[in-house]
Amino acid sequence: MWNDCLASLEQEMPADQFNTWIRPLQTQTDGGLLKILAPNRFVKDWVRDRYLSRIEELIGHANPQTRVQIDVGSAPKAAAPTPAVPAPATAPVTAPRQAVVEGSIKHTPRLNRLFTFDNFVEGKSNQLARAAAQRVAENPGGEYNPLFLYGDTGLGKTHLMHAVGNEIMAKNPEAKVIYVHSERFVADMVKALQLNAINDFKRVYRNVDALLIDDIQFFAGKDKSQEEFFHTFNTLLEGNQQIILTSDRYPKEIDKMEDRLKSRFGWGLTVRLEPPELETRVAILINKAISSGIDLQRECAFFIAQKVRGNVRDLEGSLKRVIANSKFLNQPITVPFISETLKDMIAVHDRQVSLDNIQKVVADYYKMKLSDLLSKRRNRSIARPRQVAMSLAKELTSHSLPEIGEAFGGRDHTTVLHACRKIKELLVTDAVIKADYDNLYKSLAG
Amino acid sequence: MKQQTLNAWPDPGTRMDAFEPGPNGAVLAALASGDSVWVHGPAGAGKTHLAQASIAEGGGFYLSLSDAQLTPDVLDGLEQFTRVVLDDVSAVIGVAEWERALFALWNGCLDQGSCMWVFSAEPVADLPWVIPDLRSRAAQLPQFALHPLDDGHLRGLLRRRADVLGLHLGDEVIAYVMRRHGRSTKQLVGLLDQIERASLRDQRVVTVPFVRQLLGERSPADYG
Repeated sequence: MWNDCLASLEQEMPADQFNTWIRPLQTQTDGGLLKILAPNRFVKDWVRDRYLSRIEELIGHANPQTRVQIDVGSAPKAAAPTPAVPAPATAPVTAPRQAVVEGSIKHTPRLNRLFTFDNFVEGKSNQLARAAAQRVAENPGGEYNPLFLYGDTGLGKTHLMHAVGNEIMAKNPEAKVIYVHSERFVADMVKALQLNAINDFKRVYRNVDALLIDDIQFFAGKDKSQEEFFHTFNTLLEGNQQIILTSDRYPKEIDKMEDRLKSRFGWGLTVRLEPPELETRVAILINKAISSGIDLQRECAFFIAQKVRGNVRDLEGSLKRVIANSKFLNQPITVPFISETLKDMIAVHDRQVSLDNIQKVVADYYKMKLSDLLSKRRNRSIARPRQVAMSLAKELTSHSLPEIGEAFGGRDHTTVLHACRKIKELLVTDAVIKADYDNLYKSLAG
Repeated sequence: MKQQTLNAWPDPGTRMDAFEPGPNGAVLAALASGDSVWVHGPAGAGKTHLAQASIAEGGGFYLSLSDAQLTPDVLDGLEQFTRVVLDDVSAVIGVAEWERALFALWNGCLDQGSCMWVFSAEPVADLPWVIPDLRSRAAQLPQFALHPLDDGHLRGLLRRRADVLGLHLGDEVIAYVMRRHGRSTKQLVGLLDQIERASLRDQRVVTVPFVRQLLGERSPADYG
């Protein structure tokens, strides 16, 4: 009955509208009732306002006794009439175990099994965070509670978080571990309030061995969620249940977050993840290639790691593109092949990190004249930015030391070497230089 | 009396066999692999055709975000589909409310193992993202450029489309149409559909004189 109706609508409607609004609808029949299920309220209202009368007409024509009703929901998978051909989606990687609670709040642990400690590539930039996470996995609810991981997007916070959850469950398959993105926590809470099921919500989130909440900064400005989370947080902590949180910034710097929450975030251990250095980026690429069944030569990994800046996700996207092209063209992955495949991204990178641009960006950052940066003047207010610029040039470009020296007012390569060593030392001892360097690095390399 | 044409023929715009791969074979291969991808390319390169055909043949949820009547809650819960295809995504990047909704959908798809195909005029790096985490997730997808078709491939496109419509189209007709009607894919496809409807209505075989007459053009002989 529904299939006939679909066939008629497909003939009558423009293809884009049919594909968007009609094709994904599912149906359930219950005696004389045909229930049309839309994936959300917006789609339901859209279909009801524009197409329902025509659907009723078509259904009524063939089956005069049948009533039609539209609602939000989804049919059990086996009963779904569409899609006609199952989509070739990747296999779900979330654990199948479900914590079902009466009402409408259901929860799966949502742990991604692919994120483990074994495939987390360790380098200087993340070894402290990894060690802390490992410790928490061995002793959940112990001395590092909460564990607060922060750092820029795409540096492995989520990976570590899942790794802890997976390890806890590997040691104790009965453990209740919930991973949830903060947006999802908020959405679940809103839904629970709407359904008058807030007690179920509380029971789900408070009755766990470990609660892992990602991107906690998205709680900013959401007062009710913060209030609820505050109580959840206290209950878990009192019960020695583990909490792991991630954020893109240091707890105290999260805007529009209650102070009492910010201070609690710091009660356990707060660890920062830094952007991975070149060697770690190479190792990450080789590791990701292995998991795709590809033997990536070190020189190829090195080339991608150097040319594609940004974070680990950018690296991963680029590698996937190289692999897809290599498979399609049936060509081996070599440096020239990568260079050709990623030429658009490399062009952007090369433009961004040319010696000229580095000098210009550094001079702008320190509000000084470009001519001063390149001059022979040696007072510290000029020499220090010059050293920063030289060090960035060494890190971000493939120019040799003599070439860099030449570009900075015809200096000797030993001057460049000294600058690089000096900045390396200051990055550890001088917080201001470290902040400047990180800001410049980010604006140049993305 | 002329036969009325009904809007009741297969729409080639939703058929994969009417899509001319041309220089874009790698994009098709990437889509066929079932992985999530980001496809970008200029207008007329075939993004919407590819998006719609994949949904018509493989199932999932297709949505063009360029429709100004949509609001972000249209994205709620779409991760329940095994595949979510978002077209014209650049129309909403830079709008905080939309990005928040997209971010929630993106995380939902990651959670559920749903695949995302995103179509946009620009690559990820060229869009004015408001939420860095969303930009970062987008960058994780392999990105493919969809290149415009050259003349040979445009001829191939017309041929494929005609085949799907069950229309016999001689080489001379294709050459005629190409000579006179530029290189805009949209224009050429529109013209072919017009020819097909007229041929059905008038019960005529498609020849160069028929097309010339249909388009109200004068033949060289008219110039004496």
